[in-house]
Amino acid sequence: MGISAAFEIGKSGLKLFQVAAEVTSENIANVNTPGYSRQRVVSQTAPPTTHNGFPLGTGVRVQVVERYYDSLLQKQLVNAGTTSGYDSHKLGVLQQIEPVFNEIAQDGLGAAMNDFYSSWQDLSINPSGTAERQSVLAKAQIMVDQFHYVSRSISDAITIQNESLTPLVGDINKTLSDIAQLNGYIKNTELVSGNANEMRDQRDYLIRQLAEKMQVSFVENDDGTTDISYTDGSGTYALVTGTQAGSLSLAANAVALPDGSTRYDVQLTDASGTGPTTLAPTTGKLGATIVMRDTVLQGYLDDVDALADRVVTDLNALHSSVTSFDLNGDPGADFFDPAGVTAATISLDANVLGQPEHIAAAQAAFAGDNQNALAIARLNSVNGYSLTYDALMAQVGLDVQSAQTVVKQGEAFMKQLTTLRDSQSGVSLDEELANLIQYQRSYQASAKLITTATEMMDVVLAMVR
Amino acid sequence: MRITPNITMQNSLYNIQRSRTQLDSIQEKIASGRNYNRPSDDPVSARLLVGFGDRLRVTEQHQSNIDKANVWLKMTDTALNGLGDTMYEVNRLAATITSGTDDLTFRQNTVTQLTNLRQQLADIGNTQLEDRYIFSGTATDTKPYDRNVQLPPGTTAYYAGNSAASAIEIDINSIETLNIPGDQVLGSDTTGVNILEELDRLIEAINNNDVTAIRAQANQMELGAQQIQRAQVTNATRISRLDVTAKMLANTRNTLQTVAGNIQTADHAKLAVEMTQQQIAFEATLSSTAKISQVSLLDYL
Repeated sequence: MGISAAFEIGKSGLKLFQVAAEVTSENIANVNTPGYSRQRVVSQTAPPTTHNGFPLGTGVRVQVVERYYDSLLQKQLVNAGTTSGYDSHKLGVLQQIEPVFNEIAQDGLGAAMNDFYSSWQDLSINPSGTAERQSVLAKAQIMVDQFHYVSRSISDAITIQNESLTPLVGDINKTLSDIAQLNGYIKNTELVSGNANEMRDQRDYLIRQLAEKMQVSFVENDDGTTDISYTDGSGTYALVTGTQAGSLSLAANAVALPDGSTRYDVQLTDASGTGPTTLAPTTGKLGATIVMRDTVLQGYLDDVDALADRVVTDLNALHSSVTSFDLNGDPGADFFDPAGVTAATISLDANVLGQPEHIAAAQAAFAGDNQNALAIARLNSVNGYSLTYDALMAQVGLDVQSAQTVVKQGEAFMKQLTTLRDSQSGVSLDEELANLIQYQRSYQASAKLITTATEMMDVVLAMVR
Repeated sequence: MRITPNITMQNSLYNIQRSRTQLDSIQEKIASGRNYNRPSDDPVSARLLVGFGDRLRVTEQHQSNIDKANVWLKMTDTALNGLGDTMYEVNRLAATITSGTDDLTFRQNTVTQLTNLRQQLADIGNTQLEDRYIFSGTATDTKPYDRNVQLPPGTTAYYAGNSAASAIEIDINSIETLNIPGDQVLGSDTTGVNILEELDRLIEAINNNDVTAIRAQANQMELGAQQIQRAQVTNATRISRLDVTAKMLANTRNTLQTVAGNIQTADHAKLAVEMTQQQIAFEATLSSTAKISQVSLLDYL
């Protein structure tokens, strides 16, 4: 070991600080890249040699370029992502449907129902009046239109949820195959050397994206690949195994949607090609889409349908009873079309449509008898249709409000986790700049070492000359 | 904890967003003048407000019912007053002749006057509101006293209407009868004093100068006058009940509007103060964000 050793040591320093500067530049360049974890060079003294009876180091070398990473935090982010994916989607849909029920800001079905029964009050005062009879028909038509509007709005929202499954499933499939592909790259890269930090970051990021759509659990294997599985009420399935990715598909359900279009089931062909099996998702954006479509929105629609059915049945019972008579003294018939009543199909019966004299205001065959009109006018206060509808409105409001609260809390939690992750893995420019100066100085020092060694060598060579 | 510039930026954005949301909410309240603009703003208050709205609509409908019923009742009142006055005339004339008289001219004169009065009674009994006969029960399209001429007593039904009354709703669960069927006013073959028939008999008795019959019929006329007075009282009671109910409804309406207003009407002064506070907080957030994000080690290298 001679002066040349100083050259070697200086060279190893130059090399290390060059790598360190490169890593710093990578960090700076990726300061805003989503999912990027900052990296650092871990340096290590090169193996010492014994020289002149002393063990002496042979410089420095790069042990590893590693990323700052907390696997527990990743798990928490994945879980929080699933919750927030579910809640924010639910809130979005509910907020779209809320205006339909906004009786505070504008008159809707509730007002139309009140007006309809009020028109029967007017008729009860003047049972033979043509204007009053026309008014009953007009108000009935407005109420029917409002029922149709509410029903169509909810039904459209249901259809939109159903249709949104197509791009959602496409997204999930792309993410799954990307993860499987990255698994392959990471495995191959790490077989050759070191850590595939950037690809691992990308994979972590994709898993977080996937988790927002459906709840997944993941296990990292020894070869660097990550297996992803999915569990719901129907079973546990492998979504990604090594480089094999499963895929979701949509199949038609026997039960059509309220508007008659095809209802989709989500099916899964798992990573080993088994399937397709029908899933029952209840988590993430996928779960929220299905729950909104099949439970929440459908529930609102069922409530409105039941209300329409009660309105029709109760009124027809009085209007077509054996003791009811129209203005001509004939027995009363149906007021609303009695066949298969839903909010979407409610309509005036052909018996009264355009024939106001067929409205059965009387319970005796006299023009001035108003007993039936009075009984019908009181149906709303007796049976509380308006109250039922108001309760539904309040329910929708409550659903939106609780979804808002949950989303707000979820956002705060997510922000907390993101801050923690950034605190651990995020790039700080000031820090990188400080490091850069440090590495630059160290590089200069190593260079100076070589210069000095060169001068020493010159001295030695000059001695020989 | 290690803080990176991105954390600072995210925090700033989060806080700016929150401030903006609150500012926007206050601004919406000020602009709309309402505390609640959608059910989710406060489902409980929303339910109350919509409930008050429903109740207000019902109250207004009842007020409108009462307004319309009043027209009918006032019309009935006028007609009953007319009948009462006419009966007074009938009784006055009958009183002049209770002992009978041999003066043919006087008798003929009295008969002519009574015949005219009878016509007047029938005409008033046929009073119409719009195209509805007010004294024919629920058979409002049937003329109740469809005779202009005097017919022999007992040969025809004097009253063509029915005895049914129709009621309307004047408040929740509160019903008031609207019409007085003609058989309770001028009577019919089967109900009460059949005034027109008894009057026909009186005229006949005067023509025959049958003192006993004249006295008996004059007595019937007294009873008839009382029958009409009873109808007048009934009708007047209804009018006063409607007045009382109308006042109660006006009260209810006022209360409902006040309570709903207390919940719904935005307090502009309070909101303006909140707005100012929020604005200061918002500007502070913006200012600190702008300042902190400009500082970098780069500036000093």
